[in-house]
Amino acid sequence: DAAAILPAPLDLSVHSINMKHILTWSPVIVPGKIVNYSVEYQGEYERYYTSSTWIPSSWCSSISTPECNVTDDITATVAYNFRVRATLGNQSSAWSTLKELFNRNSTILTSPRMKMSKDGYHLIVEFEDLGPYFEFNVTYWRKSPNSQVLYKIVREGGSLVHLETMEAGAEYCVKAQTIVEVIERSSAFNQVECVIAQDESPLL
Amino acid sequence: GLKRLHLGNCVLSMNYQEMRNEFLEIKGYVQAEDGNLDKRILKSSEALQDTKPTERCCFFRHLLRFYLDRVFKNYQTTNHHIRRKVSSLANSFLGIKKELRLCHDHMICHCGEEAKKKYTQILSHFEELDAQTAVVKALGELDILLRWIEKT
Amino acid sequence: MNNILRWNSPEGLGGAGVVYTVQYLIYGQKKWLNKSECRNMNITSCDLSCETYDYEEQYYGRVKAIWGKDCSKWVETERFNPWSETQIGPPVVALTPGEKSISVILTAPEKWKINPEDTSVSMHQIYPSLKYNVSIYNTKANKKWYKFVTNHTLELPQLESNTLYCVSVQSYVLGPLRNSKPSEKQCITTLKDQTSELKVK
Repeated sequence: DAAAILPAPLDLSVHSINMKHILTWSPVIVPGKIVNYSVEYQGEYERYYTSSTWIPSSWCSSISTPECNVTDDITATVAYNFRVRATLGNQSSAWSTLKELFNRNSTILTSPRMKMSKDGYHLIVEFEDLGPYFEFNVTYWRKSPNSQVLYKIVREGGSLVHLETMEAGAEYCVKAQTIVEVIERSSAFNQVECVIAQDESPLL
Repeated sequence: GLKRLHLGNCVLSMNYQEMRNEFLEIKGYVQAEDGNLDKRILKSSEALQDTKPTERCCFFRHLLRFYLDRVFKNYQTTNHHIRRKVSSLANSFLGIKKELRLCHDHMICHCGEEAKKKYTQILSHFEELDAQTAVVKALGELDILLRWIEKT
Repeated sequence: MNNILRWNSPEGLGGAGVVYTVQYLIYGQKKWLNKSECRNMNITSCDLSCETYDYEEQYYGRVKAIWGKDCSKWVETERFNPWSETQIGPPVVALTPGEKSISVILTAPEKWKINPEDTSVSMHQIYPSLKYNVSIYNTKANKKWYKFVTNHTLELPQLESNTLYCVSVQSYVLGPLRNSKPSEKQCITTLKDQTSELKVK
């Protein structure tokens, strides 16, 4: 029948970095034609409680590119499955599904980009905005014998946050990692960066 | 983001803020479907936080199972956005239930009279209503359950 | 928790001669209750703070319009949950300048009171996770930065002397964005540097 003629998409897989999840697959090629795709998903709940029903993906019903941002579909830390089928006119292929289920706790967490600045003696730090799931664990210390290592949690990226009031002429070093509480994981620390506070302002 | 929930000796963490955000997306829609304003399923008299600490785990387990087996499963909607949000809540509940299983396996999820009595009360409020009305009302009262969790 | 019910006047009547009556209901209870001060009134708002004082309950409000002998059907609000829907106002901010410092004292916003003489209930008691996002703007260096604080006093040391700084504070409770309004921007100049003053003399 018509469905069998159009081949099903292959090689479905989810690429996830910093809690942004992209489903990709190999395109179905029909020379001179534009093939569309539809994506559906199911969580563990659907598999065990509602006899494996499928839910249309938020953004990918009838798209022509072989990839779909499924970030908004995956909002629980359980195993998800996806299926994709190709359509061309009134022909639809069979559904293809993931070879391995996807759980967001496997996302790749990169170490955060960090910008340091000073306002006089005040050490200011700014992180890239990675979205609502991300906090930043900042570790900093004064570069001097037996100085204490201090910690601060910065709740969101995208704003200049005061880290420390520096002493004149002292050097301070900072490193940070992201924390994603909903999956109880954190990234590696980024490169240590150091700044030197201005000297005491000279008396006139 | 994460909320530490203390249920007697059973302590678990749950993506509380995320669930509250998900509920806020369906609150207006689902509560508008509930025409029985004079009925309530989750009453203050059965609040989780006022339950004896040693029986909170069991009571909470009953509540999770109630929502998983009888509410999320039977809620019908043609609205895809609402359906996705309900699925998200259901999968979050399932994640919590799996974590709670560990407490049960370690015998720190004791079921006593109070837990049974409170859960029976909630079930009777639920069963006073016809099926679909009850499901809609219970779903619309998720913020009451979330508030109980916040105070526990 | 100052909860005001508002509505628009019906179209086509130009609002002239229309009066309104308000009722409210505690979710799960049988009866709609009258609000005596909001019977046959011609303004389009009604303060239900007293009636919704218990923020652990949830409520509905409804209004009907009366025009001569005609009256409209009741129009209901959505279910209102004071605890999760109220906006949290900014703290009261007091600034004291030092030579190279500014002390900031914050007083938590208070819950709306039925009678002014009633003892105050701090919003901190209702929202234990209440924090403050303090923004500090150095007008000379044209730099703004933020400091997240949980307690009510904040010392800003090592500032530039004789410099105008502006401070604004926003209440912050974990959870769905409550877009709470920041406090009015307050600007203050740090004192002149006494040591260099003496030197110059």
